[in-house]
Amino acid sequence: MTQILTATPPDENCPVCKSSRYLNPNIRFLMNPVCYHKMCESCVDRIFMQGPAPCPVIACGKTLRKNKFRKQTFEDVAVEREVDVRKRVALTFNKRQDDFDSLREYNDYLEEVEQITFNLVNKIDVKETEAKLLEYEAVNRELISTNAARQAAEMMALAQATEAEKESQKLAREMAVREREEERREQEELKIATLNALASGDKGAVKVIQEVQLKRSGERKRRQADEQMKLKSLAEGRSLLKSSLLAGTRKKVLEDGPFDPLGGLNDVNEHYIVQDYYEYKWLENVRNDTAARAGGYFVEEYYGRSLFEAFSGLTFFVDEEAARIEEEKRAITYTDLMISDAVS
Amino acid sequence: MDDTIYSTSTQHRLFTFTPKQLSDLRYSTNKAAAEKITESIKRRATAAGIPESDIEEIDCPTAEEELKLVAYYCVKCMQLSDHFQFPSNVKATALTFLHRLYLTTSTLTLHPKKLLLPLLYLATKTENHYTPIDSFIKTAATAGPKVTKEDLLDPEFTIAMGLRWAFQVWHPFRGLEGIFLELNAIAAGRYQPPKPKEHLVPPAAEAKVALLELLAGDMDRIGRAHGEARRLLTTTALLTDVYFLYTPPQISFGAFLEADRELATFYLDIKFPESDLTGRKAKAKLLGILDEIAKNHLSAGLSKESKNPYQGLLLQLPQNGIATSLTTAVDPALVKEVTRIDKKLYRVTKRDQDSGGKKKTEEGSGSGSQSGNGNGSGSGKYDEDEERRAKKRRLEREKAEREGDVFGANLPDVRTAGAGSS
Repeated sequence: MTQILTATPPDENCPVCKSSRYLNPNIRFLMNPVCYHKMCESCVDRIFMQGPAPCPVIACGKTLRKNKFRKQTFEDVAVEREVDVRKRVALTFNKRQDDFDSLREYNDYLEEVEQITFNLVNKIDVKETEAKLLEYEAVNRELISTNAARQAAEMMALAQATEAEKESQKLAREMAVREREEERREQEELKIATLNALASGDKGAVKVIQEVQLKRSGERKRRQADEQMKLKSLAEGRSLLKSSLLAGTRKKVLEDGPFDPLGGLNDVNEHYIVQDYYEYKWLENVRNDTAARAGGYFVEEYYGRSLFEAFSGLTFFVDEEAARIEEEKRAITYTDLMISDAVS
Repeated sequence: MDDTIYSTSTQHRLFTFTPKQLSDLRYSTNKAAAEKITESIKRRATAAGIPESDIEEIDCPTAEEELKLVAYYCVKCMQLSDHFQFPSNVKATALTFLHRLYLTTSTLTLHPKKLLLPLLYLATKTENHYTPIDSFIKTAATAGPKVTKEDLLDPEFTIAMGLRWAFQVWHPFRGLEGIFLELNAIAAGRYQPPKPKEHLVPPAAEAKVALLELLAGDMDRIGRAHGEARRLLTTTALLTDVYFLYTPPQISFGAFLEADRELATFYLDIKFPESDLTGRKAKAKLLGILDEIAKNHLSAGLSKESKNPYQGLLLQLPQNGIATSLTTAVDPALVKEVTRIDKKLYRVTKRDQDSGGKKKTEEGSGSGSQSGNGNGSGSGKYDEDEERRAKKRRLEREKAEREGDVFGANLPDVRTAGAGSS
């Protein structure tokens, strides 16, 4: 289709009454989604004024109603038809990815939907497809309605959020403008005052004025910073609100509890607890040795280490490890500068 | 998690074996070395013109004999360490190094006598017990052997390679201390069980009462057991194969079991309570292992005549004629045996040197290898290799100069060249 997209449609004749744009420059074309036949507004009025009537196009005789007529959004009638079909299907099949446990299932669902759409658009097995549609609708009625409600809510929230953002930006802009005005005014005043003071030869007054000026500018800067902070926090709060409204995830919490970054590893030892103090004469001289303690040594480290070594590896039994040891031996370690052990 | 930390140590990964694996390793090391040296002697002899049939029988020491020799020198090393008054971890590390080294090296390649002092010096460095080399030499001189700095430092590279660069040795000493910290806490009525076992273990007061009952008024018993266990760990354990066959906590518990069986069983019952059904199997197995350690390795009652539970395996046991304590080491029969083996070794290695001309270098240098490779197989071959390599290097250098690439060839070329010549 190499038609240029212009404001006025390229064809100027109504297929029914053959009136052209030349004769009637304000001509408007409407079409009915039942048979997708196009005709000018005056024809629609004339033919369907007294209620439903068959379509004037010769081959088509479908009964049309006046209120179903609407302006065509796409140049190509086929596209228009398909869009309508899709809209209708989407009304029923409105599940989302979150509703599915795996990507595979979601893709299967999408495949089904596409299949139905394809059938409807290309007029293949229309009856069966329609039946399927109805069946699905009947089964999932609740789900469809909740999904629809959610979608509507999200739309609203999004609209509100963008609105609010626009507002805040406008406010910020206005405020900035106001600030600048004030600043300019103040500068002027100070200038005049300084000039007067200089003219009157009062050095002290000049200094006072300059100090005042500094103070005022400092204050202004602080105020500006505060405002910015407020605005930023407002924006953040809004974004949080947005995300929480749109969050609505329905994914189940992982069955085996929340994610554990260490994968179950912990340093609780099952054989012993390190207590704060152990009675041991031999450690007395270390406990009392200021030189050792000043360096940062804790006797508790000794307890911990001793107990650790007393139990670490206690339940390793070599015969169980025999196979692993064989394998380990055959593996070349990076510490071997020479690979030629006589026994490898 | 404690267990997983130990499993990452080189001691566990590289130097823990089953008795059979250990024995096989020793046999194969000896075999490889013996083969290499006989081949080298034969080659020399034929090169010198002696026909094959006239070559005298080459009498290499067997694996058992080598083990006896090494064990004897281990005792000597221990005595040296005591003379230096090094702490027990230095002594233990030096001995462990010696044992590990002679798993993959044969005495035919490196004689242990020359390595005692370098090993000891290396151990002081490893165990953070800095000894200035000059004072080391001085103290060594008072014990007998005269060593120079080169003697101490030159073999280090070879030793390190033999140890597979795994210097950290996990000893059972600190573990033993840990055990007795807890035991004393029980005696003072302050024992706290670990969280998962809280409900299974009798409360602290009860435990104290039970312990005191066991001691029956003999409060020194704990101290004595501690001393005895430690003595076992610093003497007998270092002369046996326990470091290869068991993990350090098992060794310390085993020593404790040997020192005072009742006390040890009491402690184990508290740590692994009977009421803990899930751990029962593991506990039974653990007790079996500890028993093994106590009876088969550390028991003072072992001697040449005792039954050998590892029949046919080459392990360091008194049944195999190995000295496992300082007292047995001075037994004149053993000394005579060791001297005989030493002489045998000397004869064989000397034959290997004789027709070659160049003195067999002790240190690895260049192609330093273990188990009869490189050096052991003859200095003649060594000369040829060296010449070839030197020539190759010279050629390469000239080529690089000609081509104008001052920084040398590309890395892959250099590497393949290096591999080819060594």
